[in-house]
Amino acid sequence: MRRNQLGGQIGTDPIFTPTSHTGRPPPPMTAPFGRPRLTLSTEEQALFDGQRGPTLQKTIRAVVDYGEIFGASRLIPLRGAPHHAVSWGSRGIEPLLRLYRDLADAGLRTYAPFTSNPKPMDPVHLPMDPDQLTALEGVFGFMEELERLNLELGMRSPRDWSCACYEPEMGNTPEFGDYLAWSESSAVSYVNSVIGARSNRNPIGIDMLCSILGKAPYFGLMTDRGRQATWLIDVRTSRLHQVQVLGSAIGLRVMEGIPLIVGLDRFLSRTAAISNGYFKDLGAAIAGNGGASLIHIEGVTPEAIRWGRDLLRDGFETYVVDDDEIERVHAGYPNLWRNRHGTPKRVYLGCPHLTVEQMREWARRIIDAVDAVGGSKIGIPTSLFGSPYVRSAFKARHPELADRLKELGVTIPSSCPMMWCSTPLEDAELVATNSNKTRVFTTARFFNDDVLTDLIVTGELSKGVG
Amino acid sequence: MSKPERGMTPRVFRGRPVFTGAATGLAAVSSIPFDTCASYVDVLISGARSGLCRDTANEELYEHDLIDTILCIPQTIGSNSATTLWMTLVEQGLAPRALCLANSIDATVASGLVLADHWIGRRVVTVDSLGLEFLETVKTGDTVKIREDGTVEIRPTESN
Repeated sequence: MRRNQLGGQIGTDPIFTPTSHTGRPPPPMTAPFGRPRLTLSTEEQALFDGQRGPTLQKTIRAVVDYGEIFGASRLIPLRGAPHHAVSWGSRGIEPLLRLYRDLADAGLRTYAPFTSNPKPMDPVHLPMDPDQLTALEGVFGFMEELERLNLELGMRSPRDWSCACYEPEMGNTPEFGDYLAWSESSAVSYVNSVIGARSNRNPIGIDMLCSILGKAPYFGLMTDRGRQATWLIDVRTSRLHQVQVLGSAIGLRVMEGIPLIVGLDRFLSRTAAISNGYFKDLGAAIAGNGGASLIHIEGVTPEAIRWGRDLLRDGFETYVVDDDEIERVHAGYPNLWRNRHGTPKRVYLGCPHLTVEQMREWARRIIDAVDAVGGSKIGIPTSLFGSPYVRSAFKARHPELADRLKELGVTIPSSCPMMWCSTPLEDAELVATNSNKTRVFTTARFFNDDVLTDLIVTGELSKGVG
Repeated sequence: MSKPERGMTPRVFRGRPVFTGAATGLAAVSSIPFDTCASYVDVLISGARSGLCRDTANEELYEHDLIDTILCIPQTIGSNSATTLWMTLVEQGLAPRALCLANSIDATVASGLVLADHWIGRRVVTVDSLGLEFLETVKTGDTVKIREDGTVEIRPTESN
């Protein structure tokens, strides 16, 4: 066993940058310093005064207090369905489980059936040896209780654990203009940016309380002004680079600012970028490396199509990204493996969870590469992570690819690769990935797709890479 | 900005009272953002009943017992599981007595302290937006007195 190198950062969204963690910066605080009061409707005031019981009273009071801290003016009704980030039943979430138990005992349920982030383990599709299983069951000893409480409080079904809940196969897909109180950073970024729904990045606990109330504090990314761009990102690259590095470059620069990206529409069609996961991975990389939970892309995302460069706020800053800048950012990624030149033990692809098309592309890529060298098995344990719905759809639409992947030894788990990398398992060391989010939040190393393909086939890093 | 002079006279700063209340105690100061999960990793992972800071990256506070201190920091960073960690710290009496933040409070610690306030019934007095000069002035071991209106008074110890 190794001690977690990141100091026990178990969770899905560690943020190591000094930001507000709400997805955009708070307004500057100026005197007088008193907390602004949030205006309540008559019905909300009745809840606040305890007329519908002490648990709902605590619920609305906590949401109101939280909102007032960030300058919310009122509560706003939520639409669409909730999605929650808490998916790991570790010792650290015991107080939250007691809060959940309070809510369930009071007979409360969320305003609509909700989905949740992926579990930390998938023993069926990501097999572990008995020692590993015992170790992880020790770390995540409260999983059953979390799942039971989630289902009591309104979780849609025991299958509904995935960070990419908005994929059509899973179907928790909000509509343009829906107000939400989601918490998973990559999902918040996706629904804000690609769909035009409105959600702040909510902390765990507050997401559930808002879902119980069916209302959330109105501030930040829920407001028109909070969605204006504070950065113009001028993409001048000669080609469409790997999205994960572009996203990382933007995230590291804008932090919690809101970027309007221009120059990407030379390479992207909206439809293709949705199905091949480009938007999903771009948003996750930006949110993971910085903290922004909304991106506008000129000519592509709905608010950028509607308002164009009028989205830019006065005094916006500009960042030019060219081929050299992409190279500079990529070259700056640290190698956090303790054995810096060790041979990788696993390849993990799918953080955030893959789309069906991404699964198809990786299947084709791996099969072609193995066939090219006349192989019959992959050279290193490799997993393509996706929701149970996406896995089923992939198998149904591409049965020959799914069968061949299975023969080669590629697994398709529905758990969270990043959380697995955050465990004290010896095997969690030396993971290779193409996910910038996993790179930022664990000790996994980032490689581009060509290097990973070669690694999957040979089990070794190409000369000059390691 | 020139470094503020330190004498024995108290210095007073004004911030935003986030969780209002009065508190007095000894300062524990970090000039770098406070990583909650890394600092309390023993509580998070093994359930230790300890307030010792275990963040090896934080040279100023490493091995410092933070229970009942006035924790003076720029702001916090780290995993979203810090929300429940703050609840645990408050519930088990391991939390600092108060937080003084130079910058705006972030969502993770705000939610943890909101939930502790309402579900556990215990409040960690918190003042934010105190400014960087506050952080440059206060030293570990100074006596810090917080008033309900967000005024923070620093009384330097002689050794500082």
